[in-house]
Amino acid sequence: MSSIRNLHNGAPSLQNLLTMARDVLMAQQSSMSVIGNNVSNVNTPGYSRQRTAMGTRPALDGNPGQFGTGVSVTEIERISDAFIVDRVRYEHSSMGRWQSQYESMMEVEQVLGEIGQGGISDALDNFWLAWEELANQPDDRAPRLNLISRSEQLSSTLQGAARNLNDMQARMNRELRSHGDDINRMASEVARLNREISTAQIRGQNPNQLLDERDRVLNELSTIAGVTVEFQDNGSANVYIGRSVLVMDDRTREINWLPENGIGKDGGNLYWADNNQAVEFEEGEAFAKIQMRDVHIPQALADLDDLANTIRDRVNELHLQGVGRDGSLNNYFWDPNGEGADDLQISQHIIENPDRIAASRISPTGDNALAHEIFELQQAAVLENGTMSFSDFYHQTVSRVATNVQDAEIRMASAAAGLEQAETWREQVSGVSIDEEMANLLLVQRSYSATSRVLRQADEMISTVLAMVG
Amino acid sequence: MRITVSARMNVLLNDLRRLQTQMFEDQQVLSSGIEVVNPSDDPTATPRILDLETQLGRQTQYRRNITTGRNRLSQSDSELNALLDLLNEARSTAVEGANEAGNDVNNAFSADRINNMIGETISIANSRHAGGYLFGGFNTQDSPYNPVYDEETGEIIQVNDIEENMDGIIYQTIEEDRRIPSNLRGTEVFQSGEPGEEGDVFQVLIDLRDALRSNDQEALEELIERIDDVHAQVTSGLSKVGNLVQQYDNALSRIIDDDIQATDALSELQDADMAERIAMYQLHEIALQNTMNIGSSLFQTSLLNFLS
Repeated sequence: MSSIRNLHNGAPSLQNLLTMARDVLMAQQSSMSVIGNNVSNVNTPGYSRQRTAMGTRPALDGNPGQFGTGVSVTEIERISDAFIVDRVRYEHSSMGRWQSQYESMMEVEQVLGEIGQGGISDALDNFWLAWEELANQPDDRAPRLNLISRSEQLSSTLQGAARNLNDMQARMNRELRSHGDDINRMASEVARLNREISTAQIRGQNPNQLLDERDRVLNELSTIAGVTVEFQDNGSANVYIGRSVLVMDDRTREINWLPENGIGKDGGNLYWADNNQAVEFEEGEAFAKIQMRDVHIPQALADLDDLANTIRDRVNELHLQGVGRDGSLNNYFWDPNGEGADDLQISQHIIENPDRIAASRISPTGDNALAHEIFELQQAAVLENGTMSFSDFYHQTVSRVATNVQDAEIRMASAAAGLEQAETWREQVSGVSIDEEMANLLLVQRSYSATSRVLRQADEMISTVLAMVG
Repeated sequence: MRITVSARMNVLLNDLRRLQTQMFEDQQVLSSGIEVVNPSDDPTATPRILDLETQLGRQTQYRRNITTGRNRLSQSDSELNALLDLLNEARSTAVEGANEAGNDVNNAFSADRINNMIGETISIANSRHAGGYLFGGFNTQDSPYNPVYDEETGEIIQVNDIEENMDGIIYQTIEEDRRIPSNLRGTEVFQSGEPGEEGDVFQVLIDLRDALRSNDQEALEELIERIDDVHAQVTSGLSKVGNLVQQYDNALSRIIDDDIQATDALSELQDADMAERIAMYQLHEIALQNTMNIGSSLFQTSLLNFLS
């Protein structure tokens, strides 16, 4: 009824015209402001373009019919597709896992350093060949010194590899601990954003910037922890690691680092602070690091230890039965007190006098029988319950690591392609197109100019009326 | 479909990154000539490559073993041939001595020659190779045959061996799972029995010297047979050496063949097909140039250019 009250003789008044023109100008200004914001954020990562949604204002009843009253801004809309955003987040978690695993497995591969010179396989071959060279010249000192040098090369190569793997394991622990801090910080960030978003929605506002910010944090969180997200009607995002809640509305569950033994230096695990249950990661960098620390690195270390222990035991077992060039008996070649790859040392007794190396079974000179037997150990099936030789066993280790690297590389490439595709989809929907914004700008500009003209005409009409009065 | 500047930029950057990575890999392969640089480049081929590298390392060692063993046997062969020459001469001397019974002067002269021959035979029996005695079994550092001198005449009356470890056979590994001797033991050629008993080359010569000196025709005739016996013993040793040398030579030729096969197999697995790689590199280079060209013109066209 109020609209009828505003009508004068069934047509809108000049004041109505002025008011309408003013409101239209303001709406166009709002559009221009949104376009300006879009254009200025064209390169901002994670920014979703916005659009001014406009609606015609309620018409006024009149004679011969209703008169329109212009346009108004109904909302500043954020253009985003929840499915695509979810896909991007999933690809981030997958990428986080496989990139991390690929880089770490590559490092393990480099530690083993195979193909060509300088690797463990090379050091092993040289060690065995040095025994055969001793068999070739059992009475000379040179092959004995050569054998000591090759043995030291083998022990230092194995020690170096074991040390590097142990260092890697310790680094995984430190990085996991740091991931725990990152997850807590980002969970708090998501909880704060949840609170602000739901408050804004209650006030009827579209918190576009906060939504973008939350998507960005969730992507980052997903890269590290491989989270899943459920959105609530109040606008909150509930975040889960595995099946456990990390963020619920504006509350978070804290994650603690508790030290543990037996999983390398600085060892420990991430636990939920409220119930002391271990955090079960299913994707993301944290999952890859746990896999590396608990599966791949220990496996490589165990292989090296197995290799070193068998070399130590088998060579010593034969060496004890032999005679040194100085006639000495019952000498250990490797220090029998060592354990594992990082403690494979030549017996000090041998280093002090290389003539104590036993190449013979019977005579201190001429006899090379024992050196031959030790050389033949290289091909003897003494590992894996008598099914594999040293070479077979170590080559299998290298091959397994190589397969893991290749597998991680393929999965990383697949995750990268998936992420690239998802980002492209997101960009297609939510990205800012300069051309599109310029075209919109032209439309708004034209509309603004035209409305200004209407305003001026209305003003002239009012002036005319006022002049008549004057 | 909405295509934004960022989408185009992302695609461009990803393409450039991918092509640069491929060209980097091409460059690595071309500069090294090797396709499998890291085990992960071909995890299936890696164990085979490592096996072949191990095999080639062992074969190189077998070649060294063959050289060592063959050299030792070659020298044994020369020494035994020299011994046969001495025995032939001794036999001639014995025949002459037996025929010229009663010619004391000639036989005394011959006895002196045989006396020298005893010393030469001991030198042969104690000959060395690369610092080790050839015919002493495992006794490579102490002279295996030591003469016993007559206190009055100063002449050698017996040659004793060192006894211990004279039977030692020094084996060489010449190919996978195959070891053969690299020495001929003195007990096979110089003293097949106890010193002074049957099969003792030194004792035969000592007895010959004494028989010549005493002009004992009967003994000389008997000695011709004994010389023939030890000659046969040395010839048998020599033939054994020849047989071993043949085995070493055969093994060497097999190893050379194996080396060629293993190197071929390694090359097949590891080496780059250079022509194919160069072609791939050029393709990637062209693709990179095109991508860069497109990239440089990609952002020139915009509605902005047409707005005043």
